[in-house]
Amino acid sequence: MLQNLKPSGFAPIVALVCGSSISLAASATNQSSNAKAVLEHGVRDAISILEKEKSGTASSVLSKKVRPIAEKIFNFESITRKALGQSWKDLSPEQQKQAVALFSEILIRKYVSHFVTDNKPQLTFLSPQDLGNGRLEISSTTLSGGNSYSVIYRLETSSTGWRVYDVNIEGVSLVSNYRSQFDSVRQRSPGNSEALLQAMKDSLQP
Amino acid sequence: MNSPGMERAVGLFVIGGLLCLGYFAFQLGSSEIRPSETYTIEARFNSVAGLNPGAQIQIAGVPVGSVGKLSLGKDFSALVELRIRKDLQLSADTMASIRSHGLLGDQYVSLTPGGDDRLLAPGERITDTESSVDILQLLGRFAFGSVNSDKKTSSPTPEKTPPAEEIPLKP
Repeated sequence: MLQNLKPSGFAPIVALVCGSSISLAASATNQSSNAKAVLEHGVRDAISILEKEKSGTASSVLSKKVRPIAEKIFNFESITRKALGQSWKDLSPEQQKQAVALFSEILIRKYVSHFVTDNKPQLTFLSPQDLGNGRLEISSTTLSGGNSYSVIYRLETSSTGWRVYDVNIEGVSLVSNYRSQFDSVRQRSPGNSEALLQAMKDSLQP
Repeated sequence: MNSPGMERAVGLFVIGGLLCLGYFAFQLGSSEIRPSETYTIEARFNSVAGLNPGAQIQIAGVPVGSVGKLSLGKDFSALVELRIRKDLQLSADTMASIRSHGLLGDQYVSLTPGGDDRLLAPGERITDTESSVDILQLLGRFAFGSVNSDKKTSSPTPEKTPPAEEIPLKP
């Protein structure tokens, strides 16, 4: 059939293929730009909320205020699953839900308290890098209290759009850091999935 | 002068030495994982400073492979070929980190398997990685300070944002 087509007959096909490729590339660029915009706005909004808070405010109070924004940026289910690593399979579906709730609370509380400072941190976000398989990496620099930190956000596509599944601060990955800690808990109490949940609950105790 | 017996003895000694050398070279070679017993995956890092081809790959401190060639990606990231033992199946969410033996020791790649049911197929790429920490850069920052454009507005209060490694699960 292709042999029967005259050279001029290929033109519409070539145009269609080129057009599709260009529109796909443009769509991918738009998606990554959108991911950067969502991340940047989310982080800035969270900092704006925390700016109004006084240092010394309970982290549980800060967490409640920031959680709605954090849930728009972070995929806590994915972060928890990755951080728990092999321990994730040991948990029942009910325990997994509980783990996501507890771990997201730990993360929010740990991080919000560090942003309640007198100085507004200066954030610079760079262009997203495509990691393939529906993943992106957005590098940023946080300038706060006289020091500059390199913070890399790793995002993945989900049904709700781009969400962060790992944060890499100065070369140290959040997921890797917690995975090694959860692995230690798992090795200390093999087969005891409650020990993991208890470790998380203990971590939330004031 | 030299008797034929002495020459024969020296000749036998040299041959014996060469045989010993060959034996030890073979033993040393066989202790490493042969290329035919491995499969290859790739890992993408922002920096692999200090990592060399042939470096060990470890899981929980146990050698499971070696580093192949290092190359530069299109986005100037570092792509590292990882040769892993064939009998080892890694989950798709395995993380790769560059670690060093001691402060100034050799660098190696540490793998931390996750809990994903899907397994990494040969040729697949790990993008969840931790790059090598440049000790000299850290020392330089400590000694000379870091670039600070908001120096005038910053207060002398200590920095409150610690890196993730300092945040323990249990306070």
